[in-house]
Amino acid sequence: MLPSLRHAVLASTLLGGLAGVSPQPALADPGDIIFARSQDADSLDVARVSTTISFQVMQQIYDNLLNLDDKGKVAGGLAASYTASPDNMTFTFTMRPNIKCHDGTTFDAKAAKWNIDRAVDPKTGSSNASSYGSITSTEVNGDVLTVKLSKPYSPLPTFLGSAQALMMCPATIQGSDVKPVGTGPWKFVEWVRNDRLVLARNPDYVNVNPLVTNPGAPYAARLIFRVIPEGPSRMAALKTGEVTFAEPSLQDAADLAKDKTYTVYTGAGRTGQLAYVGFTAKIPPLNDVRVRRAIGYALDRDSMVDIGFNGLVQASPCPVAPGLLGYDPKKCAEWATSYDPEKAKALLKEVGYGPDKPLNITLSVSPLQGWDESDVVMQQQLAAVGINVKIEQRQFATWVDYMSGKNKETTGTPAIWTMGMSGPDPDYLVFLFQPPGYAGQGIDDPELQKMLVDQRALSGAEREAKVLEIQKFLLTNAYEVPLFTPGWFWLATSKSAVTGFKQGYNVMPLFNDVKLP
Amino acid sequence: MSVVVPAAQSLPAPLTRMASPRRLLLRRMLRSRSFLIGGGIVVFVALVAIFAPGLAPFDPDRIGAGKRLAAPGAKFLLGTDEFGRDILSRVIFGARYTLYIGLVAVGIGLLCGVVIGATAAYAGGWFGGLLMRTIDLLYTFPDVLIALGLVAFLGPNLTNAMIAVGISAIPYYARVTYGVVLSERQKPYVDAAQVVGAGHLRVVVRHLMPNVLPPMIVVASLGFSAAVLSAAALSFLGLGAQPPTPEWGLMLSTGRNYITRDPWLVIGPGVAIFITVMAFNLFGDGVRDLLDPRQRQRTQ
Amino acid sequence: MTRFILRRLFTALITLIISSFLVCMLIHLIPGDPVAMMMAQNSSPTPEQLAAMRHMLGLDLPLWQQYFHYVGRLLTGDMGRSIFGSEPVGKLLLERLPNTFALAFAGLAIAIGFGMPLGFFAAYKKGSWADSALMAFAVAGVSVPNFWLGLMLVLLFSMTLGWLPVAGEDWRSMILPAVTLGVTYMAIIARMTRSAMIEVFSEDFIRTARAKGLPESIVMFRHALRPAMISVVTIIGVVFGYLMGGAVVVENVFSWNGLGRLAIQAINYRDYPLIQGFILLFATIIVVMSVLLDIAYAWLDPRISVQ
Repeated sequence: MLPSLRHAVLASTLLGGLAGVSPQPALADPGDIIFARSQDADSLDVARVSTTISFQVMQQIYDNLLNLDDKGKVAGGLAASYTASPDNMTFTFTMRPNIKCHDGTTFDAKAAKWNIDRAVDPKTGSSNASSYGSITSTEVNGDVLTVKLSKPYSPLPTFLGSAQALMMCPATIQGSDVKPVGTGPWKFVEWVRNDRLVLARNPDYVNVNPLVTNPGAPYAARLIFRVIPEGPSRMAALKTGEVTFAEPSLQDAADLAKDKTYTVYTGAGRTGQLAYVGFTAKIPPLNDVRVRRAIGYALDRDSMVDIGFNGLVQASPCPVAPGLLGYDPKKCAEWATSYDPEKAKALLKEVGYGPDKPLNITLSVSPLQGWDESDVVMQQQLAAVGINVKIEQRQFATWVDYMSGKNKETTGTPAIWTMGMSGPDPDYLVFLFQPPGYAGQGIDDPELQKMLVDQRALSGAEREAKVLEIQKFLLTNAYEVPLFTPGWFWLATSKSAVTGFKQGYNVMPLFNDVKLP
Repeated sequence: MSVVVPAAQSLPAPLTRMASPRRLLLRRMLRSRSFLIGGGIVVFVALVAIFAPGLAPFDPDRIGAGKRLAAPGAKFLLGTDEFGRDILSRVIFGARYTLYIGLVAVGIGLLCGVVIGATAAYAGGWFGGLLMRTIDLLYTFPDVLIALGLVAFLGPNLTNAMIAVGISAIPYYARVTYGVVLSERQKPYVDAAQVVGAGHLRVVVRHLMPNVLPPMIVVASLGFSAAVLSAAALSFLGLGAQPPTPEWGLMLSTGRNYITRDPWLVIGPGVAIFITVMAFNLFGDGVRDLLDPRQRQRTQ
Repeated sequence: MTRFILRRLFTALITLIISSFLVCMLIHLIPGDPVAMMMAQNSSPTPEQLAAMRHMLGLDLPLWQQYFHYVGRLLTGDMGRSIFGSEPVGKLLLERLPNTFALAFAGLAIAIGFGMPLGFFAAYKKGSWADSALMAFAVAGVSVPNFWLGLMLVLLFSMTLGWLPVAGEDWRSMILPAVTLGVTYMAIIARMTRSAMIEVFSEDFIRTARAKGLPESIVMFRHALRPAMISVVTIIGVVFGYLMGGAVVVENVFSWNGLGRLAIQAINYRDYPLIQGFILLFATIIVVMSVLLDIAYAWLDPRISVQ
């Protein structure tokens, strides 16, 4: 058994075999668009994930029931038109005829119903379920789908235009297997996890998305998402032409923006993204608003923006992202905490913490460029007011699971955490804060819950006022500390000779119009 | 994790039988040179670690000690990192972590390994045989696999990485101890002590251990370098030390993102690991030959 | 010979049984509830989902039965499904295996191709400055962290000189990872070759050959090299397992899409079935390799099988 003494030859045979070990087949083809990203999608099942990185792929394969134009107005999609009842409790969708799934079947009202039923079924466990509103029934009558709700929900059409509500063809779900079949501009070909995800042009595609110009099938033959975790490798691949698009590192983005041969895309003002700090607000002493506010006062958004993001993002005091209904930085700034370490120390002292009794907390985060640096900056800023912070990193999906448990706890080590949320409508506050809430962050406060429900019944200025009221509540009670916007997967870069790349809502890349040089 | 002293040492014994006394002497002198250089650097690293707060020009965790990503210069000899922290200060404080990790890992490995190896050798019989068979089995697997497996399930952090690296080296220490104790055990003085009526424990502690100790110093020194490398590799892979710890492997891991434009982020910590590991390797080699050239066979 | 092979296969089987037992039990090292940790994709798994997963993994069985459940699944070729993407673990691993093998064998080729001649040369010129320099290089090679060496090679050959790609799919992008991996083992092999050759040079038959006045080149290549080969080749058996270990690290430096990169991703995602599968596969490769080497060695040198 001793390996050291007896092992012998065979090496020559093995080496002889080496010549036969062929490297992987070359990927690049002149007609291919290759997009190098730092991370891979989690899943291609719309109802099972809620990460930007996954939606960016799904948006290529699946279509929406409705679309949003560049002003945020609802336009047709798989459904040619829709109607909403005056009380916003009944919606009808008239399907566009002859929409073909990639497998040749027809995408009809029944298929749309299947998607909605599955997403809201508690058995599916979709974290997006609450964003569909309180649906009581879905009915198909010919090419018309009727959706009835028990409570008014004016933002439903807008939500249906977001990536979270993409429509899969029912053939996608085969037991526990996901075999993506959609109606979108690109067909699924293969997925080698954490390596590459290959899509091919859908030659029969007819476009109705108002953000896209090309009326038919995409110009390129294939669209390939590649995973290259290391920033320098992604840049090298872009420069040598091995990939067409790359997610740049923050340093590279700043450099390439000055270089005429490259174009840097920064989200087209439609990112709808906001990064914020949350609290395990049930675990003492974070159940005390003074401690939460103290933490808010200790944090300097500007230095996170500078050090963490090279100035590529903006500090923001609002829970709602810029461009969305109810975004009002002036008002938010009145309610929110701003950098003031002395105030932070005073508040902590009031609660009984000080140099001889420091507060120990965990900062629970998920690794991402810019955020990693911001985490360390936060750690130091909190140390400056006497709060000891231990950083705990988990990959995002694992983080969600961990926080879902942690946020429910009432004892143990108090934790603060950072997360980003994006959406085309401020209704995402429901997704976040209506118990259980995404990652368990729901807040059991009747006043807040009532406001969250009420805003769904309103529209226009009334709704805006209600959304502001909600933000006031979140900020004065310091249930969240907004940090910056945007902040994740919003950057892309390509050689300037590549034209036609667009970014839709919530940094969804659109490749329909891309022409390769 | 990458380099494997155990493998390097598992040379078939007969291969090292030496030739003439003159060559032997020459070798010993050469080796004592490695002893001097290696030992010197080890002492230097230890002093740096002990006096880190006095030696470091800046607080290693201080963000914005200088401009971000400043190139090496008069004020920042090794430049600054992505937070504007002084890299030299971080490398200096990193020596503390490295020695600490090495000590804990070697401590765990050596303690368990010696107990297992000595028990097997001293007890002998089917029990000793079984014990060593198991150890041999584990020895077949690279330490990287064992350490990785343990960290994966214990959870990635510095403490677990140290434990995992320590455990992964147990087979190595156990095998060496087994060999050494077995050969000492057959010597007359052990029997003599037993005849005089000394108990087993007494024989082991008073008589066997002093003879077993010298080769163990060699083994520990070589094991130390392997442990430092393994732990740095774990940190590099994100499975060991966590930010903002100024641990060398972790510094390389974050620094690699800046390698295109700011390569100094990966030069300082890398050189530090390289030099430290080499020092312990030289030191171990040197001690081995100084003690007794014939010990070579046993520590292999 | 047949008896030897059978006995060797038997010990290999025992090794695999023990390894699979350890791999099966690893799951109990997880702090907290492993099943809850695994259900990460669902933000709030229902108790039924948790119970179903627990049952599928056999974690609802008494400890001693868990192993039989695990092996039972393994024997039907089922290594479980990954948590992320819920794909068969075996398929994921086998997809990456060729890449890791390619890298490991390329590294081994470099280690042997350069290590042996260097060691041979050092032994031949024993005591010269070249010998000292080569041995200093050997110590350096054993001491250099391979992940750092990899970064330095990228800096030099990709960034500064622009000769080789940083990452990619073709054979050119394999050069840097293979060299990185090879250097450490090159140093070890050089050191061992040197010791072995010094030994051989002092053997009687070499002296005899020299005394007979045979040309030095014939003495070296016909008489000295061959016996040394067998000893050095034994070393390859030892090095192989560690080389596979080194590949795990190097793959992650160069984004090389092999098992090592998959393993680190699995660890980051706490994808325990995948990690278990990875460890088991690695253990199996090493065990199979050592059996093959032993049998080949016994075939070359029949005295072995008598032992």
